[in-house]
Amino acid sequence: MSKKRGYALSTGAFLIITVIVVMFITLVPLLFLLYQTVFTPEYAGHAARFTLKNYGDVFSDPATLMVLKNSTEFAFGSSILAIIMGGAMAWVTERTHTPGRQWMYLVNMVPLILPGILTTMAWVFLLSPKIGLVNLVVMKLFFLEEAPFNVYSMGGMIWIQGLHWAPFAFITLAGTFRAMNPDLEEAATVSGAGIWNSLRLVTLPLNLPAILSLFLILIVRGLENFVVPAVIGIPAGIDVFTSRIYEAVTKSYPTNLGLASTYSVVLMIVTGVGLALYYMATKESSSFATITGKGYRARLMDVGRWRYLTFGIYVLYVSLAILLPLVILLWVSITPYSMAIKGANFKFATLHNYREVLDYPGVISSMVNTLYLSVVASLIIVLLGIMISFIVVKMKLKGGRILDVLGTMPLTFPGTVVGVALATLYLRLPIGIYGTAWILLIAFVTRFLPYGVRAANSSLLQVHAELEEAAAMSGASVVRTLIMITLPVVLSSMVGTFIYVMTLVIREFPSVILLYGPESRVISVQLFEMWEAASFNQCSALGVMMILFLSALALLMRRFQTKES
Amino acid sequence: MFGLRGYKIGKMVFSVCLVGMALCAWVAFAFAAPSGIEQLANYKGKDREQVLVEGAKKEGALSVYSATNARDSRPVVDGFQKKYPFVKVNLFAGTGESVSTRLLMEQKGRKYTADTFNGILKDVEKVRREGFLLPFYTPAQDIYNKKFLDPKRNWMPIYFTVLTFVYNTNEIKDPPRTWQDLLDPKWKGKLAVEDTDEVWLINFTKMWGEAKAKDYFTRLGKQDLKIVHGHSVQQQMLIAGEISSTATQYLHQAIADKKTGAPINFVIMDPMIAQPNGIALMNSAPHPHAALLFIDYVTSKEGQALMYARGRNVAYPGMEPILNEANLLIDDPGLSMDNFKYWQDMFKDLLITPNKRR
Repeated sequence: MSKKRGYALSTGAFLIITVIVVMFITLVPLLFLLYQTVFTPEYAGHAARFTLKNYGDVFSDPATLMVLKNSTEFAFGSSILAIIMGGAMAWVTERTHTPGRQWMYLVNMVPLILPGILTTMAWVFLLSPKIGLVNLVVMKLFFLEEAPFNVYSMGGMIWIQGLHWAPFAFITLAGTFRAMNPDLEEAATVSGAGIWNSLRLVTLPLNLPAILSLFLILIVRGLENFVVPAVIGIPAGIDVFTSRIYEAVTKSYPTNLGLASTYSVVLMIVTGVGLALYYMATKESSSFATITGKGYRARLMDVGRWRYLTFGIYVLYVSLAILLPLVILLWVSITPYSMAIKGANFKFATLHNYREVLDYPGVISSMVNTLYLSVVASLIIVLLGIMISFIVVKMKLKGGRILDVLGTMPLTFPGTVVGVALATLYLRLPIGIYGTAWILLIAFVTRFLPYGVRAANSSLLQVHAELEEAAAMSGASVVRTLIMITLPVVLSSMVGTFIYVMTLVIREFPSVILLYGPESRVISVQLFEMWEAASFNQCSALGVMMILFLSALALLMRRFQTKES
Repeated sequence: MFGLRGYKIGKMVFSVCLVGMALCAWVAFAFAAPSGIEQLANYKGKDREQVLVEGAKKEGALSVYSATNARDSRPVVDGFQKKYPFVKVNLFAGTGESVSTRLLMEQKGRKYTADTFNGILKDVEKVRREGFLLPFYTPAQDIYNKKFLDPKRNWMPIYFTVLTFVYNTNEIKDPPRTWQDLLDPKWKGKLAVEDTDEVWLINFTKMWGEAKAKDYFTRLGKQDLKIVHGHSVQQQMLIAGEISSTATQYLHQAIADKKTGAPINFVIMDPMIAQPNGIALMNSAPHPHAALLFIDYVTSKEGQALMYARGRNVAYPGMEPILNEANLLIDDPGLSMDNFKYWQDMFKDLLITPNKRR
């Protein structure tokens, strides 16, 4: 009897801790954001007063309709591109005998770590009709009069954004593909379905939760991206939502966070609809369970001669998505200013930019800070994601979805709003974390919790209930089941999420800029400052250094992993 | 499963909400009134430096909030610390609006750590309007060009961000000499505009009057302009030859990049718009002596030389040869920030919308 009570107690503690942490993390910025949308900013003796003007402005602006079309096109186009490219690569890597596939993870880290502004600029240098390297080469090879590609178009925007997010799709899907029981695919192949059919009829439907989660995140990220629309969209005359938000926030006096927040409420509604669709599609949770109590060994599919094709796709993806922009950045980082890549210009090559980066005040300590923060934040996010999803998917408690929704909503919070909300709160709370690394940690967990929650949710859907039922039947408590059964099973697919969230933390800027202190500078702040000081060359040097640093880390981890096993 | 239907997340959420609200109510506002440092701020006696040094020794610290990036702020702070080793300087440097946003959040939250703040005048003005600044005297006010100074002495310029015509030397062989030259048909398709440089329109309207300015920008808008966002992006595009020229690029960036050998050059136009970066004294400064000592140093010949060495267009008379003869139109954002939307819309209507290629 007392044992049972102990279980109930530990379960209660687990629930209460999760609920409090989630609410603490998400409700502060959420309430702040909602407050901003209906109150005028308080400034220079003007008290805040109630207003519905922001909502009126958003919904009555005739330009909203126009930008809605552009934003949707951009978000959907880039999401689909990212999923197709990342998904294909994930399948090739995890399910086939394609040569060189073991390098895929490392190679995919490269674009993940690079800030959007650097890759976007690199693509201008590649695909601009006037100076684009690819255009010049293709024109020369095929004796063309006109440049075949124009980056200043919706297609160009989708291309850049899609490629930038393809590694995220890769990492997410690779995790679920790996955890998948190969028997199902094999059964399909054995019953005569070709590779294509087994993909279409088995692999895709089984991984639906993961794909839907991914799609939702990508759409929201596409809707709120500003880098690509700023560098490519504005010269091309393609306005999107975010240009308007940018105008409202940066130029007006008093600073109009209200309008930005109102737009993010619109995004919240979009996310809400997306979540509802997700719940509907994943209602029969057992139909996605590919991890069952039956033992299985992850086997690879022998694709036979097809592997030359998959190898071709692999090489194409790596060279397009990763090598091309990387070559540009490498070149820019060793030249004093942007110049054409040609033999005659090699005499200008210099390490000056790297020296400048290392001389920049505080660059080393900010790298160390970033490393610490990104590891701790990602760990918390992954664990919290699993805890929330366990309550929602496995315990199926009444109202559990509130947690799921709360944990997903920060996806739509603008970074600036999170920054202002946390700063405002902790300046007034006498616990002294303002300006320290702790407040950054809270900001990171808030901003990126949705990635952990969505990934864990779709992973847990793939774990058949029989595993936990067996544990419960043998008398294990909920917490014990979570730690001993669920965690180890989903861990392999959560490694990708962990790595991915790390790179998000490393790149995060808008909330950080309002929260860091003199002792807690991070690398993104450093990079922004360098970018503003107008040295693309030095920024690229820093980007290359970040890649080297992360690759070294990844290789080290790999060695460690192989030793362990 | 688990027989846990008894746990209702909804109820839990509700009770945590209640506890949270109670917590918020408990959060109290501490009051701390800024002390009377007005007298010190206006002290002109012969022993000024001595008084400030004595006071700063007792204070022993200084907190500098700077909206100039760390690389350019650091040398001046280091120079100051070398000269006055007894003051430990805490530099908080950043770029853009974020520094003033933080400063305002802190001051409103009654966390008075900042002693001085420097940034573009729009940000200085925001802080002034909230009543957090204290007018001050500094010896350089007697030497600087009067037109660079704030009559109310709320801030002192430490350098200017000057906007001027910059071009790629491979693309443009005969740069313009006057602003009117840009209306020549030969500039069609060769000129880029940064899409947030409303300051150009605002100051030209002030100089020429609305009718002439409107006519000028309307005609300029028909020159098949290329639209760019961000001065850093614009600069890279210029160097790479993606755009041929622009009328509103930062002079100091052009000078710096020209030195590296990049194929760009600039024209000293008549006039050029200059946006001062001003340093101001917080009226809640916890270290007022050190703060004034720092302001004196930054605006002195010694401090300005360090800024100049970082490639900034400094305000100290005669130090920047390029600006000696130049006709600078000093931007006063205080006049336009209240109805900025008006200028933003006009800028868009005249220059951006007519050049949308879609």
